[in-house]
Amino acid sequence: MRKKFVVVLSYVAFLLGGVSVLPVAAEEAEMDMDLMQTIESTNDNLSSNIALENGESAIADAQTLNELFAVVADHYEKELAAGKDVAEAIDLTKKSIKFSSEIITFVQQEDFESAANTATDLARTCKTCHNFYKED
Amino acid sequence: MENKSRREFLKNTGLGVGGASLAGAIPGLHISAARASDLVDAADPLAPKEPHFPAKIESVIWLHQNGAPSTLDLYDYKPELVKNAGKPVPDSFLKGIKTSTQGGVNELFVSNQRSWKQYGESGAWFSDLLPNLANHADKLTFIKSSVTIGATHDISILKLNTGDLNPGRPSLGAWISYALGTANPDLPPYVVLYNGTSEPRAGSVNWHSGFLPAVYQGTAFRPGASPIYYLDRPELRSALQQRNSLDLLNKLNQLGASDRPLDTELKARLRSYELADRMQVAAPEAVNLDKESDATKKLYGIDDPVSNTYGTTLLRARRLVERGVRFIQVVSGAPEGETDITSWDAHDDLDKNHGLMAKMVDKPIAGLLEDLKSLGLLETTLVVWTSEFSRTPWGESGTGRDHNPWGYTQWMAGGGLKAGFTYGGTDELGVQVADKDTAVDTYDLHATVLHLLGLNHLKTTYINNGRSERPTVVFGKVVKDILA
Repeated sequence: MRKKFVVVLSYVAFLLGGVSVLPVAAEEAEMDMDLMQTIESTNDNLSSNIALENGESAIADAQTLNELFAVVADHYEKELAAGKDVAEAIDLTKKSIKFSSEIITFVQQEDFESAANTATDLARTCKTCHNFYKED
Repeated sequence: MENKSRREFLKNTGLGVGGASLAGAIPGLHISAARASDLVDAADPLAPKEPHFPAKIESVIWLHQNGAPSTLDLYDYKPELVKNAGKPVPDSFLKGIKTSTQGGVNELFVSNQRSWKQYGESGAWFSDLLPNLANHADKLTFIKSSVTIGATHDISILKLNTGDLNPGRPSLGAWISYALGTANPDLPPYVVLYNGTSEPRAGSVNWHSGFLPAVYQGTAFRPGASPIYYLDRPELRSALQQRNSLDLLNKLNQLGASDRPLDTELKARLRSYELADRMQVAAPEAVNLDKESDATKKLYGIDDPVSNTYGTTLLRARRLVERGVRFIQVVSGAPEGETDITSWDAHDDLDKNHGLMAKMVDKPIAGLLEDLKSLGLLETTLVVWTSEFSRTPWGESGTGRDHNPWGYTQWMAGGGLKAGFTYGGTDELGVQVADKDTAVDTYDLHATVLHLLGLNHLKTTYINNGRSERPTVVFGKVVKDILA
């Protein structure tokens, strides 16, 4: 459970482009580069699995991302409640949840072209979030 | 491990590698979705291949303006910048960008030598630096919301050409060679040209084939009469002697090949000898301007010492287009004999730098567009003005500008595009893209170029280390709004 939480937090960091999301739980200090890279590669695997029409693996990747985005959304909802200016992050996270859900549906329907287009939208949303929260 | 399972493992691995390499050699071939038309002779990796859908263009001339010109001083007229010159940049304009570039954020800068005019029916703005190109305003499709990553030349040049910040990925031209093969068996499908005495900054990694087979990398043609290293026949050897040697070599190789009919690598090597032999004649002829008229040379500015070398390079590019070369990457250098200013990198004295560099490229590019148009080639050719990034509206060293990856202008001209059209824009001071949804990153530009060549960037794939790779990494969208 604890390992999973660290992975989740690492993914949060990935989405934020390495920007600190403090203050949150103490476990965040355990985020490391290896985990972030592992999480980043899940996104790359998704694109590859869609291109290769590996339906089962693509759905598994999209499902993992979908669950992680839900955690990210939850994190930002708490930030918002604490008065932080994170409206953009919430919007982008909701988009990401929507995209990852759509990818699952497209792959289930064996519509790999639509899945590839939506996976591109998802990757670009991650990048937008990364840019938006870049440290000055 | 038991023998049986080891055998199974080796068998399965062998099949897996074989399958992957077969799929990897064929654009658009997914392991589970192969099409018969995709199957090509593995011994001839440059054989022409069909695009995914009908192409609008046949060739691309990729004009990399090396050193990053200030598009705020060429195309992107900003009255508010003129009005606020000498004042600090308001914080609101810097929101969301990392500004730790080497010069820091200084006061807004405008050259007092700059003047602006609108040209053509499109009313596109041009500065006084590009008077000849301005006359072709209605042929151009501006992307005024270009963005990229990075603030150092080498890294951003790599991204411009390969779509990624790290070395190892194929350049755009390599992907195109891989996906379409060659249209002329006597010339490479991907040629790099440059003017100046040395190879372009950051070198061959920018026309490399990365994880694609090496046959798809760009071939650099040097300036001068002998474009390819080691291609010339040695002076002490007669043409007949060389022919006899090659014929003997060919006979021996064919004997060897007949004993190994399935050895595709050997076949490919034999073809490379033959290609080198044919190129020995075709390449020097392709870049020899002796048969070009004086009027044509003048059109390209070859009669002017400042634009002579760049004009020569662009006239060569046109000749390569005529001969079916698919992708011609032209890297701007410096006028002949110029040692002080060697690129557009104007951290100080922008007027002197851009005055010279603009004069070097203005007439040649205008000439290229006019020439392509009059020959009926502009409809099937794409000319792209591009740079690794551009320059800031604030000054550096008093008279220069720093690097700006957040918003700048690039343009394209040719088949399949809305001519005399502007897409996107920067904010009122030219700091960054005004509407983030219109931002065009390098991989969007790549996706659009591929689209015009009839290639779906999502289906132009290659298996590398078990992963399906594509030219646009995991990003890339075709800029549909600029398509005709």
